Amino acid sequence: MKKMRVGARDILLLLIPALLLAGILSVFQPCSPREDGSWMSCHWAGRATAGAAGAMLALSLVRLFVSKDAKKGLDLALIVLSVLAALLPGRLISLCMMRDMRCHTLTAPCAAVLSGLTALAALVDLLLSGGKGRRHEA
Amino acid sequence: MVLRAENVSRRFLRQRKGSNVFYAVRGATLALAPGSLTELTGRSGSGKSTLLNLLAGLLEPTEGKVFLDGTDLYALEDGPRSRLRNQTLGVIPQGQTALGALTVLENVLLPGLLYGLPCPRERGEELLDQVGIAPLKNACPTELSGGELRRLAIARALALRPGILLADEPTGDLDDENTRTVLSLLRRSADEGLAVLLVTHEREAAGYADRHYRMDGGVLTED
Amino acid sequence: MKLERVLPMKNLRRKPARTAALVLLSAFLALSVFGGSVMVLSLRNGLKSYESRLGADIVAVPYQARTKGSFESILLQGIPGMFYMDEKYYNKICAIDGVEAAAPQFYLASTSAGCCSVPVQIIGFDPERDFTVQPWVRERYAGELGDGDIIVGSELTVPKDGTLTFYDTPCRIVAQLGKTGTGLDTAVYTNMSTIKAMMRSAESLGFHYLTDVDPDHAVSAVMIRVAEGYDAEAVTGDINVHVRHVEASAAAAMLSSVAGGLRSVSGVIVLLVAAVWVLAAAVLSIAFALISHERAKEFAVLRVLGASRNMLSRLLLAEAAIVSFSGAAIGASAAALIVFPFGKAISAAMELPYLMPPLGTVLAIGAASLLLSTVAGALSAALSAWRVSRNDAGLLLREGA
Repeated sequence: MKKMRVGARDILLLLIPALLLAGILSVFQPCSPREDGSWMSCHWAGRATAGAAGAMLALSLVRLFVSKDAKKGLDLALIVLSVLAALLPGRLISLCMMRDMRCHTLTAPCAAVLSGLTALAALVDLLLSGGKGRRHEA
Repeated sequence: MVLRAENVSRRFLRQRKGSNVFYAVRGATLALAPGSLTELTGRSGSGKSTLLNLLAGLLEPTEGKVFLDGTDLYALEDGPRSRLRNQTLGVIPQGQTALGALTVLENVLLPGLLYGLPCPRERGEELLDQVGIAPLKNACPTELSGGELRRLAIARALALRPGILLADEPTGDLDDENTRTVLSLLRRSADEGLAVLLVTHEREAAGYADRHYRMDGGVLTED
Repeated sequence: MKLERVLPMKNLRRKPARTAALVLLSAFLALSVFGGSVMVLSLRNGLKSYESRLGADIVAVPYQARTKGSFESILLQGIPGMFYMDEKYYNKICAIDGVEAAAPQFYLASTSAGCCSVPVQIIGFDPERDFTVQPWVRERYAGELGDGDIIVGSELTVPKDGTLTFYDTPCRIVAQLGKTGTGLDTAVYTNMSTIKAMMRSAESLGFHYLTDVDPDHAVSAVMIRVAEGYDAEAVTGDINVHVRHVEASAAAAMLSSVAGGLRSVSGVIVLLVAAVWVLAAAVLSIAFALISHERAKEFAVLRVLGASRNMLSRLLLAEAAIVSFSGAAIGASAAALIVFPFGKAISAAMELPYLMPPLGTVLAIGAASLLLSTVAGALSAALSAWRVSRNDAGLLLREGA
């Protein structure tokens, strides 16, 4: 059995979805409830995004323990999930009407930036691990 | 190709109190001819390395001139002089001088990189084979022993097929077997037509040399 | 293959941690200057837009507006305000000497407008008398504003069916205004009769905003234009003296308080950027001095092998340039990932008008920051590079031996 090597890309792919999940649940969470206690749709958008981020994090964890080819598959899945997470707040689930609300100013950009970075990291990993093995030198 | 020093001196100011001027090399005259191995001995601090640096175009003499064939080395600007050194002189400096960021083979090919006239990979491998460290070509210099590093420096000095080889204590801190390997390598280079200067402490070296010089207190005398 | 292209990269790869630290440091150079200048420019841009959107020389509001959400917080932060006075005060203002035109406005805040926990500011104006709102409505909408028609600010999401309902009054969105960077971007504009209808509807729904004023004869604010030859400050004083229960403010004074806030925020930003630059430049210079010192022997070896003095300088400069360029690229990208997506969050935190310059300008600033930081990083190695080229190889090798 080969020794498990955790590289910079593995760490990034764990860290960014973790940040996204933590961010959406804390500092970047959507708007607070209305005065009567009911929630606006941005709350559910935030929940859904957090769910996607959780799934991304789980896949990144699994990535650490599987073969090189399976890693590539998981990279692809991460890219698809990142696109989903970026689209959820605002595109797939509507946010508040006023665009200066938290959900517009914090939640949606945070989802877009962090899932964009996840997709980028997964893409880079996919490209660098593709083709010929790169450990024959060095 | 002949490298000739004419009455060269190098004066230094001591960094101690008082303006104490001393001569590291005083009025040395010497010619290195193709196909011959010249041995230069002397105690440490006698000025051997300074003379070698003067010959290599690395240290400007305070008096006298150094000629490479007809060219006055120190009449040239630093740029052309450096280029000339790169292309005609092979210098083996004292100590461990491999670049840590490069592999053994890359170190040997390094002189070719300086002016974009690459030394072919095959040439590098051939040289490493000649000095007997071919299996280490992809290793890091830190993985090499003192003797291996010295042989690496010789291979590097020969990479661009120089006409003149200047070796500063190439056998210092080597065991007997390695010393013999290095000395015969230098002898072979001289036999192939190079002008070789060997600065050394080694008694054994005398047997390999055609001419013998001694340095004492900056003064050069032929034995 | 040239040495300057090969060796610096290999040297940098050999010490990944140090290289990463230097790259990060250079990243701060670009990040701070790019982010800082976009913020300062956005604030300036915002002030200009605020000035042009205010559109009046004097603004008069009821005295109670002080406590019930001020006019300024509507403008700056988009916090809805509701305050009213009897129309008779409007008439008194009109009678003051030097008042050329006076346009009444009527404010209402929505209850959770079908979506948000925060109410929306609804501003009613009289198209006949208005001179502050319509000039910029015209930029987007040329038609008449009929009853039940509304125009929304740039930061409101227009629902698919194009209608919004306030206090059971369905309204048709006829236009959306351009971005101003002020609190007015989340406001809704309508004519007087529509807003009065909303007010009556609100009363019947049990919201009693007006206790002592008849809604049909109430105004919230009066926008005043001063006749030529009159001093706005003096007219403001006159209004405050002669019309009781009304507080008039000269627009110039309102603007200068915003400008003051802008100056102090910009000052802090400039100071921070300068501090980052001084620190980073110092650390980078020290780092390159240490690197060149540590590599003195390597440089001497290169000299022996035939490198000229200039080549040695170029090697060190190339290493610095690679570090500072990659750092600057990372820093500028990071700044872009902050200023673009989080521009609104920044603007909300500043509580000042904040309007991003056009994309082209921002991209140009980004490119300039990249260039500037790269040059600064490379320059920080200049002294070391010069010193490296002065060293005597022969002497150095003897020391190292």
